[in-house]
Amino acid sequence: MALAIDPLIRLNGISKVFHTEEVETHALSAIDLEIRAGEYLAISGPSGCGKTTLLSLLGLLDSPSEGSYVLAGEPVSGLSQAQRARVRSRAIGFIFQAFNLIGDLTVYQNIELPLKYRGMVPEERRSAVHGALDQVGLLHRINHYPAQLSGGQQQRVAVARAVAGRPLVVLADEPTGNLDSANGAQVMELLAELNRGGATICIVTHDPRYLDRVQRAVYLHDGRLVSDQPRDREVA
Amino acid sequence: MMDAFRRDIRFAIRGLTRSPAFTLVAVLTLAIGIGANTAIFSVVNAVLLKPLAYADPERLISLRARLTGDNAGGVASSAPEYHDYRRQVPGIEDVAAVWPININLTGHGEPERIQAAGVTSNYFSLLGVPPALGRDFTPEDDGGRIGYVALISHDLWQRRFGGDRSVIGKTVRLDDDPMTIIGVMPRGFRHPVESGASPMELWAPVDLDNPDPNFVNDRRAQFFDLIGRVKSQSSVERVQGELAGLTARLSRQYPEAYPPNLGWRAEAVSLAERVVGDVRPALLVLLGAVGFVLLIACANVANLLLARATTRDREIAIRTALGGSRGRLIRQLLTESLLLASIGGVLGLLIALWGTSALSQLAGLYLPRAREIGIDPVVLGFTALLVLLTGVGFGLIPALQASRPDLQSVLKDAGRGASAGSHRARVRGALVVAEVAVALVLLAGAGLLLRSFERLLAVEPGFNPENLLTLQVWLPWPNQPEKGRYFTHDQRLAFYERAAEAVRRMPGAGGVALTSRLPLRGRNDARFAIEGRPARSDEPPPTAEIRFVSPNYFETMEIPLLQGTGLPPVADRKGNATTVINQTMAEEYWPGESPIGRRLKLEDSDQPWLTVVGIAGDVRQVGLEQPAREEMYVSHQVWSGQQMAMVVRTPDRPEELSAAVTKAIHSVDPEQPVFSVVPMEQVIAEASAERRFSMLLLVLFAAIALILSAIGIYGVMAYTTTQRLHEIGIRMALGAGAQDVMGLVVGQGMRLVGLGLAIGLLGAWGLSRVLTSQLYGVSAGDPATYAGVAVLLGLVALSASYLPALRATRVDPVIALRSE
Repeated sequence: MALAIDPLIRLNGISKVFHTEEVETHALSAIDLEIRAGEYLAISGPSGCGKTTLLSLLGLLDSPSEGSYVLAGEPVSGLSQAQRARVRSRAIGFIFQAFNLIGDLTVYQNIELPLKYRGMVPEERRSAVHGALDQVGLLHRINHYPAQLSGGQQQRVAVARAVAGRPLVVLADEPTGNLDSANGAQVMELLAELNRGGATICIVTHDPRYLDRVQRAVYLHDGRLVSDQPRDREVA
Repeated sequence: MMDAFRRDIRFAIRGLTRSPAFTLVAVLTLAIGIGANTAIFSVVNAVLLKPLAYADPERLISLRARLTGDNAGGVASSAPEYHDYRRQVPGIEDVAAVWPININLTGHGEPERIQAAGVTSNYFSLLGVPPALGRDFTPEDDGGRIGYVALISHDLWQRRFGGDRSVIGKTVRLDDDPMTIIGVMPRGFRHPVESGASPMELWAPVDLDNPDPNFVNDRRAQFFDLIGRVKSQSSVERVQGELAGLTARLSRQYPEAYPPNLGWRAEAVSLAERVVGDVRPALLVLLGAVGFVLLIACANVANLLLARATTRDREIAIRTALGGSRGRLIRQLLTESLLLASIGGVLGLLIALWGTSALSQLAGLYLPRAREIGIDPVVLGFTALLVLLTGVGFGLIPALQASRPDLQSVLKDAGRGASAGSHRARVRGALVVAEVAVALVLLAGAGLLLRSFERLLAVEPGFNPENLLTLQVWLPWPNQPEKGRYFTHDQRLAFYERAAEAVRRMPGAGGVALTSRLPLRGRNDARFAIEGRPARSDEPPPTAEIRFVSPNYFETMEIPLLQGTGLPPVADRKGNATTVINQTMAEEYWPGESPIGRRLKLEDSDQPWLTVVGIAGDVRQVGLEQPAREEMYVSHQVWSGQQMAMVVRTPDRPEELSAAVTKAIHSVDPEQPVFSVVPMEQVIAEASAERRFSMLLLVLFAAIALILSAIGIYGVMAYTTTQRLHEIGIRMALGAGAQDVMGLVVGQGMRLVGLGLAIGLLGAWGLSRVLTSQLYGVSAGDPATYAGVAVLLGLVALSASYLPALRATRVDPVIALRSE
């Protein structure tokens, strides 16, 4: 899954400032971070520390106010919106806390969506969707609508959607935040399994239980990266 | 109860003032819909619904004849027929005869050509309308061709006598005869079948008992329009049955006047049908069209209300949770929609006030009873009904939807993002589909009329109407014609030639020619016999449009001479006169051979045989849409009547010559009114005025429908896009580019539009049949028109979807993802 470019992600001096009418909010300040291919990394910290902002920058949903971002050897911080969309469709998979499946689309169509945006031909899409659904154990739900699934199942579909296109990195924002502990554990196990299969995964979480499952945890406080430590992974 | 109603009203006002943009758009949309409907209904009410303004109008009938042999209807009646109907038809109480005439009014101001009528002395009493001033006719007033007393219209009284009440007893001169005014008709009194362009302004008694053989004993002198009153115990249908018996008797009794090949048949129709029957289909089409506009307006407002209901879900859920009943909620929401409709109705009335005045001006030339168009209590009642129907119509679906609050589903909707309010979205989508379909029906109708009109304007009239001024004179014909100035042909010819010469000498005048009747100004056909071809009794006699013209008429009008020569500069009046016929007549009567040298004789005439010397190109004499029929031209030196028209070719704008031409003719006879001084292009425009009226209105309504639909589509797409912001954020996060988002939004809009277009095409195809009688040169199923309007509507819809789509492409995915 990962390319032989090391590091896969390199952030140098990344800052993000939000301007409102009177207030200037420094969401992130001078972040330096490298993520290697195949790494399983967690970003944690208290509410409002900038975790989600950092994930948005990593996922090219937003651009930094300062600093450089190199993804797979390519500088991406100065890309236009259209270029960022192209990179997102090819290189990044997203998993959201609220699942964010599209209610009017079936499970199959939801997973197929990023592959369509990438321009993949229908046969390849079909095989990729089936493969991903098989991986999350929901092949039998392929024609269901999200509303017909439980929360845990929906998040597993979201995981399948994130990995079906074999992106360079999977970004997960509090993937267990809306799930009970059993379903949460199941999803985390799924991510760990994907990582074992070679996927680079970066999750935002403030749940200390899941920090044990990652290889490395970075800790943000008031928009600054205050700690970056390797973790002992729990063996599933 | 009243308290609750007041509370509802107060609450509704608060609700509407809280959303001024919504209120403004909804009120304006409704005002346009209600205003247009009120305006058109005011026309329908005045023309079709309002009883004629006479006593017991439902018992009034029009008596005319049909010639089945000639396939002609609406034939006027003779004096003997007038007596027959009065005496021999049991169901008829009384009959009045009207002889419409154009007459020169002199004395008390400039000479003027007015529309007048010789009427039997029972005319006003039969209609049941007495004069407002002075007295009605009595049988003693009859005398001569036209009696020497007159009643005048309110308008003429105002215009010529300044409303002076001492006008009674004053004398005016009509065609040189002195005539004493004995009464003034009330304001608003109209002759039932007058034309809007030239209302009847003077009535003089005509004596049909006068034994003058030339005037009242000739059954073929059919120039009286008869109005009858049916007995109260009889009916139009019964009278029609009695007329059938009379027709058979008279045909047997007077075979010369009613030869079997003519197929003469007396007919009675209700006077109202006679007056408005011809315009009913066009008016009903317009009423239907404007009803469609209102439907679209309602769909738009319903859509706005549905969108608004989404933002009020929580408010309504809370009210329900606090014990508000569903009926109470529906009442509250309907109060709001009725309030909107009421404000829209008031504004709509203002639009209608302006619209009715514009419509009566636009339609005045051809629409019967156009002067009666206005806002009256019936129209106000209609508007009130519209307000009620629209208020309930557009308010009911949103009210029912909004009053079905399900707190759980409200919360669930919020949780599931993309599937939020999908039922409501479906209703809104259905409304868009419906309004696109209705708009397409209107556009197709307008398109068909537009193309018909375009085809009609493209018709070659057979002459060059550009830079051509036309005018008319009608020489006086007093009661004792032999004492008049223009009794003999030579007297008339001398006047016409001197008048033409006077105009010819004017600077700016090119060719000046004379004709007994201008093209497109009505029929004047003559029966004729062909030398060597005896008439057959089983065939209708040959007829042709006849015009007496000056020899330079063809050159001045630029009518091509296809064969032979034109009329000679000096006609032989002693027995070898000539005629020029048109191509259609040549092909009809001499197919495959040359008619040059053949001879014709006008029936019932003491004129000599006419030798055909030339063939001219066809001219549309009767109407642009009617193919040219047989036409013949004879020199005005051979015969001339009291009526003559002049055409003046000029290099300048024809209007600029109007005053000078009138002055030139007055230099020959200052007493002679010159009237209808208009460019030939206006004569052509007047000939298509009715079509222009229908076409303009339908195009206007279709344009309104198009704009309202565009607003509706825009509204739905803008709303849906806002609702889908979160989904769009997800899609962008998953790699959707601007084009993908654009395609998503526009695609959704165009799917609805496509469905609407398909339904609309089917509907238009079915409904366009009602337009068939108003079409010319294009079929009701014309594929090019349908394709054109579908593309037009599709493009407008595309533009309406484009703006919300463009906004969607500029969505910041981070904000959109947080928007849940």
